[in-house]
Parts: sequence; structure tokens; C-alpha cells
Amino acid sequence: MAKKYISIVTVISFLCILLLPLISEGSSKLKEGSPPPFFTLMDESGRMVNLEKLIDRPTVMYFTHNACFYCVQIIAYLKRAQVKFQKDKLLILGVNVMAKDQKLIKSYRNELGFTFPMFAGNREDVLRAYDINYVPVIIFVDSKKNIRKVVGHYIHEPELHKNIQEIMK
Amino acid sequence: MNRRDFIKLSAVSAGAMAINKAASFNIAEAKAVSKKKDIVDSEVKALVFNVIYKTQILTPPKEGGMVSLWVPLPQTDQEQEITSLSISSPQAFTINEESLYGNKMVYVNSDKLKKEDSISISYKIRRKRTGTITDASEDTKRHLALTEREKWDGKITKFVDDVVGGEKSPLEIGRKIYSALVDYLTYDKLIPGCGQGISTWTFEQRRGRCDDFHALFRTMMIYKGIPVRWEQGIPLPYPSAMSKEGKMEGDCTGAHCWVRFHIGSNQWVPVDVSEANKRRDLREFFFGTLSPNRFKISTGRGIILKPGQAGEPLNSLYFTHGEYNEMPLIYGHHYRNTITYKLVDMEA
Repeated sequence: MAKKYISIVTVISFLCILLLPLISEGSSKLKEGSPPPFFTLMDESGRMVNLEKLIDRPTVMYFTHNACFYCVQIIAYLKRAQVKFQKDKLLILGVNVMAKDQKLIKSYRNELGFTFPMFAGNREDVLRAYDINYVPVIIFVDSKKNIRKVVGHYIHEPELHKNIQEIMK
Repeated sequence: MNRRDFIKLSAVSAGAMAINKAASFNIAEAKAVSKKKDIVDSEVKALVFNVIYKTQILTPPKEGGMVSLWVPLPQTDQEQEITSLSISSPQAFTINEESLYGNKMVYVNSDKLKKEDSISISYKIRRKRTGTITDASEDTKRHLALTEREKWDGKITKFVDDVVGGEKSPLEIGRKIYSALVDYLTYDKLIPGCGQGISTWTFEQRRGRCDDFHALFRTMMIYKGIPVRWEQGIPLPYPSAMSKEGKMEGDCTGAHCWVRFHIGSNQWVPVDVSEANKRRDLREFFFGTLSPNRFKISTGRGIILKPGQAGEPLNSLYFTHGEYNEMPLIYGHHYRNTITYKLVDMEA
């Protein structure tokens, strides 16, 4: 009886693991092949920037937070990616979901030493539109301003590069 | 004592450890029993372990200036006993207590913290398997307030109304919502990031981790007018899988939370919805009981530290919060927390 129960639990658990990505994608507001939601967000100088106008080439949108260990590692990968893929061909833009104004963005940028733009994203409408609860979240947007892929977890550098190459094709 | 000197303070709390030796066994025995797989997780009465909670400076802020660190300090209560407390810090510190929930913290404020400096807090904990507790000191009203991330919408209220029906008993409402959420949600082990416990996100996504499960449970219960107390802590392996010692990252990925809801007469019933989802064999157990493989760091959500942090109220307090020049430190860049434990005793 116990063995049978364990087998049933094992099968159900396995099915749950298989189905989880489908559940996630199915309920997400972000659709691959469609444009991401566009907002006008505050940058480090306090200027409001329309992201739709800013995105004029393949783009990596990166959602981060100060309390996230993984996020700091990805910043390092993005800094290297900006050099490797050249910033006139690839736009990297960050959104710090802890930041409500420019002060935090400015200090985050100064401390981590990146040069790509970052915006304050601690707004309910932004979090809802991009389905942000967990960070890191990385959205790969192609030259037609459509989402090619959403990565809602830590990413290794080779996978980051592979996804960038896809949107730059 | 010179500020540059290494400051060490030991404060041993009063009260002797009241371990019934006849009902306990040592580590060697625990390991032996574990191999036989005859430890029943729900039947272990208490765990005793030594903990070192360490916050280390990785890189001081480039801007310089004052760095403030608030390192959480667990307390003795009905569920756990903290003894042999020892605090070491390279700079002067104070032990503060915030006013809303009474959480304690070690506070360091200095412009002299340098790379590899660390604040280390060690203590022994005897954590019991606990059930409903009576706490007359608790103000129920403060546990009826939702935080910024906990909100209900029409979908959530309809779900609750359908599940609860005409039930009026807080205990039975809690049981119905608990049971419905264990079935409705999936614990998402694939998320290796940091969550915020957003109720609407969790309800829509039908997945999440402990913050999400309990933020949603809290939201639903408070919608029905039932106070829910957030308890934040550190998880340890289950007794049946417990190793002699272990080390964890002291950030959002290494924390655990659970809640207690109020059923009247100062009684608070514990639930651990996310563990019930992960351990279906303990589904009944985690309604009204908590296993001892955890310890509590703080109570409440929306925490304002003492002295108050420059940033927003903290979702919860489980890892060291740091600021410099009124800006939050960056975890993994400026500082890092590690939690190590050594199992001392397991009371069967």
C-alpha cells in the first residue's frame, strides 16, 4: 500500500514539474511574439523616459532589486555583454523594482559600475504589467519590439549570450 | 574600550535548558536512526542546535560615509528558547527593539567598517514542535493590517466567498482556506530568485514560495476579518534528513515563514501552507502544528527598524538590512549573510 502511494505521489510530482512551465507561461501577461508593456519611467537623473521610444534596437530588459544576490551576478554578465555585443547594436536597460525614485538608481549604478540606463520600477502598475514578483527577470526583445523570450530566474552567461544572439539575428 | 578594538560581548540568558535527557538522544544516535529512516518528522518534540548568524562586509560603499547594519536577533518565547547568546562586532553596537512587534536587532552604525569585517551572533536554540498558543499580550488589531503587497481583488474575494460559504467560526474558516490553498497552489522550487509575496500575483500564477503562500493566506483571512500574525524564520532540514551541521545563505532564498491566525480568547493557531503543499503527508499536521526544524527570527510584516531605516518598511525581517548614506546596501556586493548550524540534540 505504502509503495503504491509512493509511486502515485512520484508520478504526480513528475507531472507537476512537467506542467509547471506551462502553468507559468499560460497565466503570464507577457507573450512571446507580442510587444512588452511600455511605460514612462524615471531614470537616475529624475527624467521621465518613454521606454517605447528608447527601444530602437534589440533589447535586454532586466528587472533587479538591491536584496537579490543573483541579480548582482547578472549585472556583471550584462556589463560584459554590452562590450561583447556593442551598445549601438544591443540595448540593455535595467529596471530596479525596489526604486521609487532616482536616488536609489543612481547609487545602485555607481556602486556596481554599469553604464546602461536603469529606471525606477517600484510601481504597482509596472509590477503587474510585467508580472514581477520574483527577481531576476530578463526579457529579450527583438528589433521589431516583440518579446522573444522571458527568463524568470537566474541565467548563466552562455545562455544569456545565446538569447542575445537570437534577438540580434 | 577603543572603537577600533574588537568588541566582544557575551550575554547568557537566564534559564537553564530543560531538556529531558531520558527522552533525548545525541547526534551520533540521531545519525544512526536517520539511516534506519525511522525518525517520524511529525513526532519529533524538539531540536536543539547551535547557530552562528554572520554578516560580512564584502565591499564597503565607494561613496564612503556611515554604514548602518541591523542584524536580526531571535528571541525566547513559548516556542523556542535562546541561550548562550554571544555577539561579536569590530565596531560598537547596540541591541534595539522596534516598537510595533517588539523584534530585536543588533545595530551597528559606523564609517569604519572595512572589507571582511563581520558581525557574528551565536546562540543555542531549543525549538519545540508547537501548536496553538495563548498570547494575551498580543494586540490583534495590528495583525489585521495588510502590507503594500498584500491586496485582494474581485477574483480573490470570490474565491474566498466560495470556499468559506456561510462559515462563521474563525477556526473553520482558517481550515477551509488552508485546505483550498494547499490544493490551489503549487510550491515552485524552480524559482531561484527573491520574491515579494504579492497576493494577486500568487493567486493569478497559482504558484510561489512560502512568502507567496502565506501572503495570500493572510490576505484571504484578513478579508474575512480574522487577524493573522506573520512569523519569519530560518528553515532547517527535516529531522529525518537532518545532518549534523549545515550552512545557508542568509538572504531571501534561505528564509522561511509561516503564520498564526487568531480564533478568539487570545488563541493563535499556526499554519504552514507551503510546507503542507511540499509535504502532502504532513498536510493535516501543518494545520495547527509546526515542526521544530525551524526557528523564528521576527514577527510581523511592514517592519520599521530601530532606529528607523531610510527606506520603506521591510516586507519582513530575516536577513540583515544595511544602508549607507540613507541608501540600501546591495546584497551580494556590499555584504553577505551566512547561517551555520550544528545539531546538538533531537528530542523524540
